[in-house]
Amino acid sequence: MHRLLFACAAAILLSGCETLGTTPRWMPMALNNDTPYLQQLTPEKAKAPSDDGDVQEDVRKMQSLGLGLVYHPELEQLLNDELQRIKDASGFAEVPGRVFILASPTMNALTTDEGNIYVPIGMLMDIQSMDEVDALLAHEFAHTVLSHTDTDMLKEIQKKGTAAYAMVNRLGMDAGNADSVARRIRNGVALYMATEKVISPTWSRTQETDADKLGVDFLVQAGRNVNGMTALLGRLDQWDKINAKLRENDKPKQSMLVAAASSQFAQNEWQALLIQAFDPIGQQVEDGIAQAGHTHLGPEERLNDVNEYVRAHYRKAARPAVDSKTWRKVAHSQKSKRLAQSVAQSHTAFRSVSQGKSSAASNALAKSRHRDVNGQTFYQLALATVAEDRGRSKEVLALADASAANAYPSYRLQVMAQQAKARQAGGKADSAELKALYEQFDVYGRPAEFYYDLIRLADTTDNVGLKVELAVRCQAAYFGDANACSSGQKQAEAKQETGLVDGLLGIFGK
Amino acid sequence: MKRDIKRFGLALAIAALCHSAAAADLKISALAADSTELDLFSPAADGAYIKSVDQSALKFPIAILEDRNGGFVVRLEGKKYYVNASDVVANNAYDVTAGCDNTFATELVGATRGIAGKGC
Repeated sequence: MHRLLFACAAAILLSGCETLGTTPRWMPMALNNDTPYLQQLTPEKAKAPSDDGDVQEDVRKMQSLGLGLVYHPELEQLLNDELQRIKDASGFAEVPGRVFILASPTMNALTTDEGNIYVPIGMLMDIQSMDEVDALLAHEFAHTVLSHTDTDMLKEIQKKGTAAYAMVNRLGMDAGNADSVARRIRNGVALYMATEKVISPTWSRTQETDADKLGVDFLVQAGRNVNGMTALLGRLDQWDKINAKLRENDKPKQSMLVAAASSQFAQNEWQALLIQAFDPIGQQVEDGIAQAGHTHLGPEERLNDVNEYVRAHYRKAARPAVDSKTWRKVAHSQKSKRLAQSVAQSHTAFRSVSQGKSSAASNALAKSRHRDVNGQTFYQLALATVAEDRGRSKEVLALADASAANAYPSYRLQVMAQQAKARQAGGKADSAELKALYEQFDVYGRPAEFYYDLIRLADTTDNVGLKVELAVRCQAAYFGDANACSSGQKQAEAKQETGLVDGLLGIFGK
Repeated sequence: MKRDIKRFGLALAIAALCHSAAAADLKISALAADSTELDLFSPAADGAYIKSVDQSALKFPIAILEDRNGGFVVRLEGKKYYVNASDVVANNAYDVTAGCDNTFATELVGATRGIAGKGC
């Protein structure tokens, strides 16, 4: 259901992505292959550093996406030293942004509009040298320099996905254990969105190739071996396969969503079958869109393009010895490996909870218990998700409390804590605490997926001002799409509005 | 004590054997499709360009002495050189999570274990 919606949103947005972006002052109207790209740019015209507040807000937003960020100061420092080395060598020293490590099992780095680069920890485990990691950073930094970073599309997809699960949450309210089903669906969609956001390419094919080529220039300027890019691109094919597998596994279970729709709308077996019949159609449409939206060139094509560029401009440039030792010492330390493994297990646990397999989730997390891991937000979040699923509010609160002082806390855990408190208080949230939570919402950059949770909490209080403010802001954020801006309180009205046909439209078409 | 030394020696011998076996398996079978020359660089730290050798002067397969993550060290006419991996067709593989020292999410990968960078 939401997948179709997601797919349609993606199709519309992807079809419009050619118009994204404008030419920055330091770039010519078009880049040509006759001279190295870097020589065609004028770094002195590069933009002044962004507002530090925006950069921080961007980080906090990512802290709340999926399992958030990994706190590994040594590795983070090494990555940022390398990014700075590339910036200094390229002449774009003032361009803002830092590198962060994503607690995601996906294999695709992400660059945001604020210039921050987010690299999943698994990629860092595969990379074998400083030269190769510099190739990755140089490529991502090139996206920033070439002003490719426009996250509007991702924001739209996230908003639509959020609207979909808000709708499904509303549908599930009548069922026997509605709250837990709704929560699982929500977790499933949150996981999918987190995976999708990292995996989904934001750039067009030309932008991707341009970033590869400018990345090569950066690499050479930084005194690294240009073959770091060859090694990096050599791994892409297998990374793509891992991403495809993850995308498939993290799709919220359609059967669960279809079951919710069936129980809500089907008057008889025939109608239930009719609803279920939409499942493969939705699947087909989405798969088709996923293919169309896969704007990255194939790894082989990218490698050929880069090789051609290197032969044209750097054929006889020195190939300094690759530095594997420094890289492996930090990135492949026991601590790094442990953290990488626990990210994978936390992800598995999160997925298991959304599938109703709480014991499997607990088992996966038990394997990760270690002093390097216990204080990580992603781990605490996964533990809290299991505790929430089992109705252990005290445990959720303790974990949220423990993670509040972490370097990279998650807004998701704060929301979960308020929900746990409300459950303990017989379903009523504390108005003052909710107000504080709402203030934090701004600090975290108002991640769209939490509007629905905040609205539901606000509905349990008598704080009319907050309710109105949330509704207005949510409506504005969703451009009038009201689905995610009202809570389960209105489900009786919703039920009246939606019969079988409308329900199907609501699920598959809106 | 003696027994420990023997064990250590045996482990060392096995490791050396494995390493040489892996290196011996790596070969360059041809130049890349669009290349007619092989560019040779110094295998030393500076990696300076030395010369280019015409395809006709090369005898394949060429054994790879060392896989340097995007390039190879080979021996030609008694001298060691560094060559770009992109200039040749070789039987190396850029390993990912199924690699020997990577414990990350191994259940997600069905790929066979290839020969990756150093120490693998």
